[in-house]
Amino acid sequence: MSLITVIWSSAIGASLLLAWIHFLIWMRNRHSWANLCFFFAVLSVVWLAMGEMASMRAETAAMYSNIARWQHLGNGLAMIASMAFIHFYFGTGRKPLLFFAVALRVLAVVANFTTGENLHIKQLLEIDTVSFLGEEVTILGNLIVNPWVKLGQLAALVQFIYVIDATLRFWNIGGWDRRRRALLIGMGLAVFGIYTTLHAGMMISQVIRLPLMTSLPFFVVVMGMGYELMRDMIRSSQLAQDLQESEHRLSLASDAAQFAVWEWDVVSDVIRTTKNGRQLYGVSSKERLGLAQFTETVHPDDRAMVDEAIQLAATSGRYAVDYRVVLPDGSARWIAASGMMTYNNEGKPSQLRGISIDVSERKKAESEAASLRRELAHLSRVGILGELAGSIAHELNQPLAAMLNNAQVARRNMDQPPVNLTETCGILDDIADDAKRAGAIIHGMRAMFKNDVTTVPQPVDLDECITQVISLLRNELISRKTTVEYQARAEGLIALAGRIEIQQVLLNLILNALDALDSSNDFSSRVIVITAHAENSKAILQIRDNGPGIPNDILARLFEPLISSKPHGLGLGLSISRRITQHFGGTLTAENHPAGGALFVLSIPTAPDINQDLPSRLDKTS
Amino acid sequence: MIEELSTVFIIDDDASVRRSLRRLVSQAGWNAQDYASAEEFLLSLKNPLLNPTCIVVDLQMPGLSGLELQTELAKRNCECPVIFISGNATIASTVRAMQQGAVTFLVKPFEPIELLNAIEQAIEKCRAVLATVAKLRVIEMRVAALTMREREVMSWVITGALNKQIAAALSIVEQTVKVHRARVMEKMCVVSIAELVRLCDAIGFLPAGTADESS
Repeated sequence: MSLITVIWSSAIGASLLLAWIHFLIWMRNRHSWANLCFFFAVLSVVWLAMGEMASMRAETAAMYSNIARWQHLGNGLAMIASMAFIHFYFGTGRKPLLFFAVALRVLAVVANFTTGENLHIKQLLEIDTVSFLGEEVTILGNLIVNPWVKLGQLAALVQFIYVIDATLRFWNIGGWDRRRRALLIGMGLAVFGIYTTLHAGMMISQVIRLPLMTSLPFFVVVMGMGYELMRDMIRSSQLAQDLQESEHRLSLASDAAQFAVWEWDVVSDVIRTTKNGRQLYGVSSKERLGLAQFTETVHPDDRAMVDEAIQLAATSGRYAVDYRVVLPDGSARWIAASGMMTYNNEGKPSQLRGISIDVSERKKAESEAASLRRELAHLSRVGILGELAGSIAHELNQPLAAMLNNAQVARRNMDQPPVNLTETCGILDDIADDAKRAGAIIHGMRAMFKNDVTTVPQPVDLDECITQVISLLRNELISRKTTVEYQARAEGLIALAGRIEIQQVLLNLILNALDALDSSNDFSSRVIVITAHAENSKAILQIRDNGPGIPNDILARLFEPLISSKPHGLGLGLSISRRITQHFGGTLTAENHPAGGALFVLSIPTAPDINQDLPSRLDKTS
Repeated sequence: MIEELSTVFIIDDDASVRRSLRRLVSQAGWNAQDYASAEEFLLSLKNPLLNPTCIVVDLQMPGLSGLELQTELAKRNCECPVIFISGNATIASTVRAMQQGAVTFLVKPFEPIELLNAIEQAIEKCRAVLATVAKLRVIEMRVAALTMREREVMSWVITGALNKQIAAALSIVEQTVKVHRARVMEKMCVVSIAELVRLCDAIGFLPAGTADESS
């Protein structure tokens, strides 16, 4: 068997195999354009190799010339495919230069079919033979050169410039991996370009006497390209394996930590999640998941909130929301979800990725704690009222006594005509007024006894609040020889809180002050001073007494439960008061006034733009 | 009760209660005067009292409390009886009030008739006190009319000593003692030694010897 047949056939076989592989790869992933370019480049090797074998055995000049003409088509395919490969694989080529080079090559191929016998030869006068690899093969003899050969050389030059430029730019990005590829593929193609031009030039000028032989060098270059593509494939399969492993680890971790990982493709509206994610939301493993299916699992009351959170994530990029999920069996589960939004090139939301955790236990504990706190606050309120029972009885007995006296006088008046109508009317008016007074006291007390809590802060008139507390304590203050000076009144100061809760805090602070004053021996001028003012959208209430102040060893821990400076104090009042204040976003602090006595500062958020009338405020919020 | 109009002083910081008390008292036929605080009352108080009066006072008031007013009155030797009314009476304050001589202690709301009865009783008590005081004042005036020597003799007479013994004690003659004794009996408007002893006892005029021992 001839050596030429063996070598060229092997190249053809290997090329066909490579072409088949990369065509299959491209079929599976239509975006891998580099593989398609490689497929065409390898096909051109097959074409060229087959043409060369035929030309070596051409028997007439016409036959040789015809074969050479078709070789130019294969050559054109090789050049365009390799330039396209550079374009897709390096991504650094200049597009205008590429189009220019491709256009020149196409023109060259057109000229090849339209001028002379082919692009290089106007007319082949005779053929010759030479001994090559132990065989007599056909080569060019006398010929007339086609002037259009310059077009082919120009196309080769532009192609060379394009490849060198793209390669250098790719090289300059840096990195060992890139530079190897630039060297292997870019330089390979450049050298091949020079080789073919020189080879053709020397052949037609008969400087060398060799048969057509471009397929083998191109085969070498193509092998370099294939090598790099293979490396990429190996690497991506390694990455895929790593990814799978990391997904597996994540799945294990999420199972163990009981959180679910999910991903929502905004554009295609597909939600992907792990197996435990589906379990968490009570959806079957087969069902297709989109936003609508997800929303269906959310508790109807929480859907608006979740929707809002998604809207917010679209603009802010962050997603965080707690909501309830209704499981198929009708039970509810609290979920805390958080995630991040990613955006596409146009800045539109593309994917929301995050995790969901079952927080039912925590929510349950929180709600239990909240109800305990409410109960404690209520008990403390009832306790205060118990402490004040005597004073309140006195306050109630005043109007009752007056009413009894007045009724007696009126009754006797009736017995002694003529009845003094003017006096009787005055008496009846007084009775009515006193009945109202008693009613108001009972009403105020009932509110304090009730065990309900202001969950949503409401506007509270602080001046009214303070005045009521002082009047509730009137008798207590008298019997304990203490005056309350309510200076710098809170007129028009509206806080956002709960009326009963604020009164409870005030009662607590004033009663504490009374206890502190009782512990001092000075009876002459026991004073509690209350002031109120607004500051940075907060209402600041200050309650100061002229007692002995707070002992330094207690001051730091004053608000902790079970800390009390009183001999019989439970130490709950202040801790409850602080919690109440914090519930409404306020603060409660204590210090000793430089001039003596304790000073408590209560700060509560005020209602925003309270000066505007109510309807316009509602418009704003709606 | 007919000859002079008795006055009831009403002291309560609650305007409505005060007004109702005034109506009640006026209707019962007494002269009512009301005050919003104990301090205000003390400023207008005329001591000693001319007519029978009584005070109706709330136990708890800003400033001087009812109990403090009672103490203050005692300091000023005012015989005006006190009736306490209170909406919130503790055992301690009740005991103290009664110990200091309160007529009664009413817890609001009380039956108006109870208060009227108490006022009646207090005014009678005041009247009796005033009458006693008036009688004593007469005796004191009689004693004041005695000379030093006569008072000295009287202090011996009420011990039951004989003229001879008195003369010895005072180092004077028996005849002079007789004269002084007759003068004493005349000025004190008594006819018997027993009567003289009772008068002296009423105003706290001590017999001779006991004063020395106590001083």
